[in-house]
Amino acid sequence: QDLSVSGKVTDASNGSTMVGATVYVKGTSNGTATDLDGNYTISVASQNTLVFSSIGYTTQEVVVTGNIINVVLKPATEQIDEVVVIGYGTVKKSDATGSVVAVSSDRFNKGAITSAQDLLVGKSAGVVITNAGGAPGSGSTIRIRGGSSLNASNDPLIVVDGVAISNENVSGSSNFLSFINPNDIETFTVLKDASATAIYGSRASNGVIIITTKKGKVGSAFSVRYDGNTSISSAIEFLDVYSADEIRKIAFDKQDLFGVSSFTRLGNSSTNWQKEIFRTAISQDHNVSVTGAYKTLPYRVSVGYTDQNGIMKNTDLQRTTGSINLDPSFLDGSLKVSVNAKGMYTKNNFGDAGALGSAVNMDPTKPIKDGNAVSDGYFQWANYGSSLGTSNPVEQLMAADNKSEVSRFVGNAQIDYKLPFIEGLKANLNVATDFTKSDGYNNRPITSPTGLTGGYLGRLSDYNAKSYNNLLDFYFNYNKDLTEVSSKLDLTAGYSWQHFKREGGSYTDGVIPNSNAPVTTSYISENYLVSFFGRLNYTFMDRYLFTATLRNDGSSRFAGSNQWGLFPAAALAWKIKDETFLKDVKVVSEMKLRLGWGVTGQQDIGSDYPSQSVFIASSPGSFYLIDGEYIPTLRPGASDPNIKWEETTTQNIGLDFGFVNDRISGSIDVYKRKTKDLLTIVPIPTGSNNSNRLFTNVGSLENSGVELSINTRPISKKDVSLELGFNVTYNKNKVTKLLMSDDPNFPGILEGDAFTGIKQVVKVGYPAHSFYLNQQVYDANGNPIEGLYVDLSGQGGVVSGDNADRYISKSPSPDYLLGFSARFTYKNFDFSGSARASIGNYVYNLVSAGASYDQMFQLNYWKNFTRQLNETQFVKRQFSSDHFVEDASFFKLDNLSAGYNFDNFYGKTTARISFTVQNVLTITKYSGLDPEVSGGIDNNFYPRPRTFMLGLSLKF
Amino acid sequence: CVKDLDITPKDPNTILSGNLGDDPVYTKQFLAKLYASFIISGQGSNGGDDIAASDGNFFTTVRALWNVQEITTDEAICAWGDIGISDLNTQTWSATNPFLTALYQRLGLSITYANQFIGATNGSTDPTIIRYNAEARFLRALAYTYYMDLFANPPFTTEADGVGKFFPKQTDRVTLFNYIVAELTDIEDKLSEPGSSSAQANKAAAWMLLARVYLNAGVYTGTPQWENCKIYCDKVINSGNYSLASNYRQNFSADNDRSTNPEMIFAYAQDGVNIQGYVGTTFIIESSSDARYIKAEDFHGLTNNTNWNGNRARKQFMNVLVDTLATYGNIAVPANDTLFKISKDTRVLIKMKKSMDIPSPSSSGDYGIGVYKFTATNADGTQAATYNSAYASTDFPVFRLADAYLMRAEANFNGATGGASEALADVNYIRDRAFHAGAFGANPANRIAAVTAKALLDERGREFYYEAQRRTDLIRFGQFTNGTYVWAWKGGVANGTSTSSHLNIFPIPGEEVSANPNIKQNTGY
Repeated sequence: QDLSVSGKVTDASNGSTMVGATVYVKGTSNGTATDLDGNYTISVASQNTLVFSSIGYTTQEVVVTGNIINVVLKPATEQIDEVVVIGYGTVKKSDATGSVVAVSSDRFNKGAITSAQDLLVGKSAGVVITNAGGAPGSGSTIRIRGGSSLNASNDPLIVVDGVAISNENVSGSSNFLSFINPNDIETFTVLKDASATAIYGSRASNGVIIITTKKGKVGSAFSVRYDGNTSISSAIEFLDVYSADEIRKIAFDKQDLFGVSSFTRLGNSSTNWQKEIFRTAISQDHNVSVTGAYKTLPYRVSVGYTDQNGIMKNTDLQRTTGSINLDPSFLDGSLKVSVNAKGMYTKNNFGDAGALGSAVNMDPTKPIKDGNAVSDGYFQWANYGSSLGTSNPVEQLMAADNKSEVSRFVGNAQIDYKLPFIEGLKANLNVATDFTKSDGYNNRPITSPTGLTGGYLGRLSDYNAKSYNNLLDFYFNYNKDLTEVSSKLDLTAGYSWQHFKREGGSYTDGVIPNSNAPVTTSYISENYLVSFFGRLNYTFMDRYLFTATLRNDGSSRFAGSNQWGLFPAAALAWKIKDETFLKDVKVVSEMKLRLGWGVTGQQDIGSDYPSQSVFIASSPGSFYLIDGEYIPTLRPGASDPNIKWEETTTQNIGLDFGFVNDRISGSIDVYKRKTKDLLTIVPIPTGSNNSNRLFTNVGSLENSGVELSINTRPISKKDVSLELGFNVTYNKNKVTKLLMSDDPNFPGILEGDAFTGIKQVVKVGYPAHSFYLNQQVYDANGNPIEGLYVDLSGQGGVVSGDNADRYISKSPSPDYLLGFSARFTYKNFDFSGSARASIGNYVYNLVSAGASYDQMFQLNYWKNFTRQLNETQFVKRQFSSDHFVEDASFFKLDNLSAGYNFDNFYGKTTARISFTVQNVLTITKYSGLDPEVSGGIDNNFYPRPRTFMLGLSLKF
Repeated sequence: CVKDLDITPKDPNTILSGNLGDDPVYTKQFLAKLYASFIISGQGSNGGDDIAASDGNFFTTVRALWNVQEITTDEAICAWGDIGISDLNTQTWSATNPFLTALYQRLGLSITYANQFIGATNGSTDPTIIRYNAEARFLRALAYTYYMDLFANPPFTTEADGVGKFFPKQTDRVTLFNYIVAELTDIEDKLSEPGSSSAQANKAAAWMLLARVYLNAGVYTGTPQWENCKIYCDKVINSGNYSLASNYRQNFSADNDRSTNPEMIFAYAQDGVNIQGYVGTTFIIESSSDARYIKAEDFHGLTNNTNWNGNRARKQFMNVLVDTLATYGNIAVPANDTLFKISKDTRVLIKMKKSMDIPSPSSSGDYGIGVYKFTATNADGTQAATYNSAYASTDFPVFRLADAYLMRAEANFNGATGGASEALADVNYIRDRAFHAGAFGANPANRIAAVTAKALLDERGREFYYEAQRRTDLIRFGQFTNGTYVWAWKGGVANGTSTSSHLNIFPIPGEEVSANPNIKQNTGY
């Protein structure tokens, strides 16, 4: 017997009636929509379920028991922010005391994204994610609030579904997060200040990113979802190098420099080498997921396949991922089990990224092929007596057989048991394993020049690596409401054990064996972390929140009494909104003040045995002749028996706010982080240890900054909505102490290489890795005068090269970072975009600094350079000139996306199609290809492509 | 589970310092490291370079030593643009020069290794270990001698100091001089007899080092000790274990070690298969060859990664080597004699390049006078037994017998008891070999009539060019800095100019002055 049910649908955020909300009978196609007054009428059998939905609101289901059903729909965003994940537990967002930011899937970046971290770029204040370049599957560096260390790791800890994963890349893999399919991710939670991260202790000095994947829910219906896309990528622009005719003209104009005989070394061709190594690449991505619940067993299973082709020829990646999440509960919900398994299998084809530099430098007057069989028909300088000449970039790229296969499995089982005998007491056990295996090779045929084969005739080079990471966490959690004193207690105490083991090896030989011995290497290394931790959350009158954390961490990297470090943290939060004076102020919907302080430790320095003096035997080829016999040599290694924990103390003040029903919401944080006993590689007194540098605890540094993020919903109507997000970060990094002695004249730890010299420095009082160069003198027309620098020391003499006249010019770190995002919906259409800006970051343009006339014809071969040489007119390279430090501030429109949702695409199937452009626009004064350079030295990296993507999602 | 934190390395290639005594071969391999630290950058693929530097081969002792002893003088100039090279070419270096820094740190490291070896083997009664211990002390004394010569006032440590985080004390030339002499005389009896393998130090090597230290005593201490120099040269020459190679070039060929070359006393061993690296003779050969004038296939046989086109001689050195600058002038050498065949001196192993003049310190290596003195082939031109197309098997000579004669000649010329006549005999003995390869009898035409200071310095130049001795010799004769002798681009000027005498001693690296408060910078820097 059908009932006629009617009612009104209203908006929870402002009480207004909702027009056009969908109402349908669950499991049928029987449905209607609310009218202009928000009313509906539908015919439905009793005990059936009505589903109420509207875009941007949480769907509600109501079982029919009467004739009138009024429904209040909540905006969807409120629900997601409700609970945030913190270490070893969750907390209501409103009760969080630390600086915690959650970014959920609807706010992720759009586009052809194969790396999980790219979803988060620009989305959170204080989080800087720089990908290594445009190579398929390339990884990113993630920095939260600048780096707190100099030589120890600055990577945040990443926890995926409760597994603190290893963030090392094994050889053959370029991205440690590639095992997660971006489509499987539900939320990123970024823990920034010490009070939030302290519970993770030893690995959390640089912040924590908690990744939660999508899971099935109890009672949810079986559904299948398909997401797929096809994309086209191409290079945005090439470096502006001389054409073949221009090179010929330079050769003619500068005969006095090169000599007439240099003409005979020029060719008759006109080759655009950069064009020859790039292509337009088509890639695709497919994902299928199944979600549902079998009785009390919610499940989600997904499979993904990515076929990504790089814009440089002969570079690609095929990746298959799979994940299973099972979350059964037993004993009426008092025993919850969560089982997560993720698997990944990737085939990488790396090609040869060195072809990029060769394509810039290769003589454009030469043909790609000249038919010489020795080099497989390719033109090679080596055939013309210049074995050190630039390698033919096309051969370099296409003949490279540089592939790897990487498999990874990350799985864990977590058991959460409410102990029956004490109300509020839970025990939680988590066991996890994270295993990676890679096999790869980097071979070259005998037709490749020896410059590319390391002196062999052809090259066979195999490598393999395995990485094991096992984890066990166990903790008790006790919750108690002390209503008589208006207090709540939440106590956690636990133990954590982690074991990391790495092993691998390599083998290199010529295709045609010669007297260069095959080189074999192998390594095996391990480390352990053991911790005891406790946390107290105390809430008074629901308004005053206090958190105290204490963690005792042990690391096998240190010895004896230095193994253990004790790291405390404390935080206070005051929910001002709940005070009587603010409670009834309608315009203010949220106001919370947070104060945090904490100490975290750092021990991740790469080396597993820094305190032990280890003798290493040399490999063949590095022997010596003793008593008539060639024997390996045995070298004592540098060590510091007293090496210990680096400690970072963080102070944080934050304010969370919301106005007009959270139509405007956000937070502001001010922080200072001081790191002492820095684990640093410093120059040591000669004669005191077994190297010129030692990894030891020396120095201190400081990061201070401000972060502001604001989210607004200026339009929030039935058919039209607009959301805008904005965040800004200011961070200042300063080294406050270095060296064991305090020498005010210490020039700092100099950074550079033999061929291009010192360019950066770590010096007290300045940002780490600041540029350290000579100050260029310019002529009346503003052109740099070759080799003429300001005599800053006042000593006179030749001011050039490596002398006291250098100064600290700029820093590669930005002063300000801004992130923007916008999302606009109109009926079933949606448009979104995100952009970033970086202000005050400088880049040393090594590509243009390498250009000089004397280098154009040297060692009897011709070399090309960027046209910037027209401006400098340098005959000799001037690597120490600050002329090459450029302001690389930028604004990047990262992506624009448009989509359309079909509510009833086919039967009950909903569908969505979308079109996205990635890497849309870059505005910068920087003269190189891309101002976004990790580390501040631009030396030809795989360019980030512009990508057009067409996406389709289907839900059954 | 807390016990898990106490771990030791799992890698079977590593040995903990406490286990050094477990196997006698470890001691032998540790000794091998003391020698290798001068000539090999590190442990190869097992552990990389010994020091943190931007390029291990660039900054290994012998290569850095060669650079600071040769390209700072008339004998050589390097065309490369690498940081620090042009400062050495033009005598305009400063305390941050990477070659000086690396050389300083390398020498300190060799001493630190030796200290540990000596500490671990002191008191042994095993005759082999006693000898090894003495060899380690020789190598430490040798490193201190380089320190005394180059930097004058280095840090001083012995086996009593240990390894860790501390600030070594600074020493000075006079103290160091006395220490080196005392060490060498103390170990003299414990080393192998003269004539043993040139890859390891023996008694003759210790005598040669003593002779060289005494030869320069005036520079190091202000008081010449010519007679002592003569005494130790006599010991070497009179030991009867060595004789001049009939072919001068035998000393610079793949078969130049003691087993085939009667002249070699001590050389850093190199081998195409076992002791590889772009240091030592491989560096000298490759950096001196180029694709046009001195081609690998024609001159030395290192065909792989070849023709680096960096080093060549400056035109003023032609006055020393060929005595032909006046004859040829600065015009191209006749097309039929670019190899200077006109010279009867078999030590003239040079070739004319594009022009004798070098247009600028950074001009291509195609300008100047090419030097092909060192080769990777055997002395007779055949392929080396352990031939490798990338690495020479030619040992880097440290002490060869000819040096004993010329040191003795200089000592006698300066007042040692042999007097001027014996000085003249020794110089002419060396010249006889040079002008009569194979059977060096008397030929008055090629002999000099009288010894002068200039004749001695020039003879050393002709005999030892490209053997990393020139700077020390020029300083002893007062010709390195100031304006008494100038050469192309000395001081950064085309025809050369006077330079400040403080440059006779190199600066202590800035990094060291900062890292160690006990170390004071040398005067003038």
